[in-house]
Amino acid sequence: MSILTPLNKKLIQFCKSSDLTSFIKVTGALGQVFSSFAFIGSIATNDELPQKQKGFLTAQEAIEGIINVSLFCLFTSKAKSIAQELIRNDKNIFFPSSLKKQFRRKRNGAAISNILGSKEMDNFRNAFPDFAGFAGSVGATAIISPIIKNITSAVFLKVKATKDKKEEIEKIKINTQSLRKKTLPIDRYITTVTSPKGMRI
Amino acid sequence: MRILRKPIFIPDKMVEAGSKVNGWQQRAVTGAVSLLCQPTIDLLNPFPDKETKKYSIMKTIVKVIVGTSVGVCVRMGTQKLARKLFNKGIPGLQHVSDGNVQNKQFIDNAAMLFGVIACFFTNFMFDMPLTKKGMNWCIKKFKLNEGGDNQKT
Repeated sequence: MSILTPLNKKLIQFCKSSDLTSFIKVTGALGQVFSSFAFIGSIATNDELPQKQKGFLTAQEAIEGIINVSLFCLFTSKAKSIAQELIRNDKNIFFPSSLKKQFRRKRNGAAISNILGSKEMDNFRNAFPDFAGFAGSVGATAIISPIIKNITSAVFLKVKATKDKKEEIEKIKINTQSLRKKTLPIDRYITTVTSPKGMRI
Repeated sequence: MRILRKPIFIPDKMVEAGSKVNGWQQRAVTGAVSLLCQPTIDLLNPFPDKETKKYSIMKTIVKVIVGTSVGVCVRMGTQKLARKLFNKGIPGLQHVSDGNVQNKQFIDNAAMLFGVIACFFTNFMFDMPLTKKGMNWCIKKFKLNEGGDNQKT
């Protein structure tokens, strides 16, 4: 028995899982963590980027990484569970477009039960939760995450602007203080320079 | 049973295809949607100044193109690798596997797992230098450094 057998068993159990959405969730989230690190690295080590933009882009990338992973996990599982709930509770909102023609005809009780019991509807019900999970993951990564990233990175811009303003004020203060420094009167200057404890060059 | 007055129709083929995506297909679709939406979202971002916005859009486009191409290639490679490995059978894995193991689902899942492990290395080996080179090429090509009060680090 190899030392790797328990690991192999775990691996096989994990790969045998038919729950594709949770698999996409785990692997996708891990992939995004790695890629976020790589992209932050590519910005932080890029000397061609101006300092001002470099700070903003690094912050933006870090925020995007965090949001991406959390939204990806949340949306993928939520979208699937919502889809499953809709199907389980017979809340018929989504239908396959192949049944569109049948809907146009007169809707009575028998016709509706025919539609709901059709083979197309069964196939649709089986495939819909996984599709919802996939669509949720794409929507979270490609659309919702960049919008939230832009809103949150505005906080970074505000903090940076306040910090820059404070630094500017400090600089002005230092400059005006040096201008306002009182100069010694000539008699005091001479006594200071000539005294043994006075100025030393 | 209750049916809404206006039910929402979704193309059957799209649902069918979307429910059976594997790793590289998912990455490719995410990349394509990102390439369509993210630059527009960055362009409409009201918070940064004009110069920063330019850099932000450029970074997004380069990142999505590089990330998607490398991600799709890696996942396609791992998909092939998983298919080869599990069609032949790996020593140490066979005794715990049963007849249903070597099916498409198992190979897809294993490929996804291999893909994530491979991505850990390829992100730093390919994504990072390629993104950096791509951004520098864009800065030079579109002369982004010349406008405004930009200072190199």
